[in-house]
Amino acid sequence: MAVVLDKSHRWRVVLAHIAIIGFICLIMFPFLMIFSISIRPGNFATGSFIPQTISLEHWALAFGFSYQGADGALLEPQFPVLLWLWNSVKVASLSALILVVLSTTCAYAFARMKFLFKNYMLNGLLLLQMFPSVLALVAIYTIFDRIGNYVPWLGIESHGGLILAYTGGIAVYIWLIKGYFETVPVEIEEAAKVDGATAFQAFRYVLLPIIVPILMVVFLLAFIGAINEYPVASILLKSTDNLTLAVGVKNYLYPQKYLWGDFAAAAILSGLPITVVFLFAQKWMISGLTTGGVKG
Amino acid sequence: MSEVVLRGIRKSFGNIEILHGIDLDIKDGEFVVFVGPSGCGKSTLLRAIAGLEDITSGELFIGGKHCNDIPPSKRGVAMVFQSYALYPHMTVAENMAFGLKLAGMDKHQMKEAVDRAAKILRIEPLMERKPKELSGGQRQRVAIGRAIVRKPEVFLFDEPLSNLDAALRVQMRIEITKLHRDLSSTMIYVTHDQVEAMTLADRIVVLSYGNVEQVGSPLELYHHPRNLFVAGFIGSPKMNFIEGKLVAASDESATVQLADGSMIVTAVDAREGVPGAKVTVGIRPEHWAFDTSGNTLSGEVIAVEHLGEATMLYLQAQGALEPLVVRADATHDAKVGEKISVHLPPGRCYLFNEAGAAFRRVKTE
Ligand SMILES: Nc1ncnc2c1ncn2[C@@H]1O[C@H](COP(=O)(O)OP(=O)(O)OP(=O)(O)O)[C@@H](O)[C@H]1O
Ligand SMILES: [Mg+2]
Repeated sequence: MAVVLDKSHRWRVVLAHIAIIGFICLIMFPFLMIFSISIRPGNFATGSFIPQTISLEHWALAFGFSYQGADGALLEPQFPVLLWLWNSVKVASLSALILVVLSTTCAYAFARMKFLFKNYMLNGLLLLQMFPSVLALVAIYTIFDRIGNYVPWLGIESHGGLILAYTGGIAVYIWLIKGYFETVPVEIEEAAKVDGATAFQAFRYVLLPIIVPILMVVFLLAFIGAINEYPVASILLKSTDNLTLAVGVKNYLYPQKYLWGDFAAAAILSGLPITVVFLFAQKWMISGLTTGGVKG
Repeated sequence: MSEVVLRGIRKSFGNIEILHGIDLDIKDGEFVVFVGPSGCGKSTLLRAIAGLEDITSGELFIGGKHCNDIPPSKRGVAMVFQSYALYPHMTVAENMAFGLKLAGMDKHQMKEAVDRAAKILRIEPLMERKPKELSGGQRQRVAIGRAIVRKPEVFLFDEPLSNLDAALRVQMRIEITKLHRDLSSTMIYVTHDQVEAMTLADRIVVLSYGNVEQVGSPLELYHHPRNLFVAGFIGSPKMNFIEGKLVAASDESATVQLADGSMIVTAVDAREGVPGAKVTVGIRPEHWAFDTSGNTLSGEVIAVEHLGEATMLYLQAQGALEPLVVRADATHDAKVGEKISVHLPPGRCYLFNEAGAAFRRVKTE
């Protein structure tokens, strides 16, 4: 940490900070824009960046309250936004959890075990992942339609089906975790085995605590991916009560009427679970957990 | 009972064979040291005994039990890895207690065992630190500690003292001897250090390219190496070799003519030697003499090292493959460039035939 620094270092730090702050402003601008729209009265996409009057109508509607407008008209919430949010969180956390469990075990096998066609399988995984799922939408629809005939809770119009579809995106995570496994020296597990640990104990008490950071990263990525995913969710889910937030908010933007304000409030709401999960996961994403185990 | 028996152990990685049929009987409670040049397969053999590498062919018995297919955790061995292999997320105390915890030992006993080991290894002040906050030598001692708290039947040490300073190394060597006496477990120990090998071992196993060259007590290997390789490997600085031609051979002496024409008598049983054959004379640096005439060799001094307790002379002589190393008294006053004669006491000489096999020495003064 305490490396000796030369004199120009301070100026470089200041410059870096200015650059970072500028960059953050740039990134934050669209978000602030949306936020401003959500607290402006009426449903307009354009308008002054800093609203003259602040109105909570869109937020009230998003949270499922009716709102007494300034003109006396009572606005009823049109859509079950909170239910959508719950659907999103449910689907995202379950699929992220399943992804973490499956990709960890797969990655372990790929990183540590020897079996036939290992490299072909690894490359195959990556290759398949290169095609965007949009290309396969029709196929996905047909597949889940067929599955639904036998297992209804995995078919069309079911969250189980959607979770299954999301779990299909496992390849990248396998690669990610495999890369991390390879940074953990094999000797550490071997030491545990010589110490009397079974394969499972070696995994549970020695390997798992070391790889927590990457598991958190994978959970977070999978979670964000699922919350934001639109195309697959939009063809698998149809009825209003079943929708995820990403698909649901699109309902505010029907051609006759663009409810920009309500849309903005709901959109910000969808960022909420991501923020919560991120804050939680951050605590575990510490680097350097593997250092010190082996020589050099 | 925990004797370790190896029968024709072979190990291949892919189609490269690393161990070529190792046969070894290690008795219960014996301290066996593996030595050999880097890359000769010492670690691989140790890992095969621990169960971390499967054996390609051959049989391994630990304590009379056939162990080829028994997982490491069930073999009753503890190992100190060459790379330490500490658990990076656990403190020193947790590292050492891990095996005991798995074995279901109660907290109180566990703490006692860990504290005792910590005291032996002088790491008590470090118990709450993580491995990354330790120096290399400290990590190495933690790795030893983790092995010794478990009191297993068989200890496997892979160069456990390589990262310690000279003083600590001597201390740890003594501690390991003590430990061996107290626990009377079987110990298998890999090292590059001649002194460690000579002082610790009941028996030394010399390995080369995946073959056992010779097994024997330290003094046996020192006095009666079976071949050129073992002779050159045991002892430090290493033995000098001078090529020559056998001129006369009997059951208690052999006369060799060196490249410069001088005749050297060696006290070996050379009945199997054929006069006229190429042979190699060996003599250790500490065995040359100066005051006697006859049986001498002359060479030019090319370097002089004053070690304090002795002076090392390096001689360039005809027939010697490398400069000859001579250990002389500290007061020896040879100068670089000077030509001197050194005497080879016949009883101190070794003789090897063209294939490198040693003739039996008839006396070792
Ligand atoms: N996993 C492996 N795959 C292929 N070859 C290996 C593997 N492990 C070791 N080897 C080879 O086996 C040989 C013996 O290695 P080993 O580690 O046993 O040597 P060593 O005697 O312990 O050497 P050192 O004294 O340097 O530790 C080496 O030539 C090495 O390249
Ligand atoms: Mg080694």
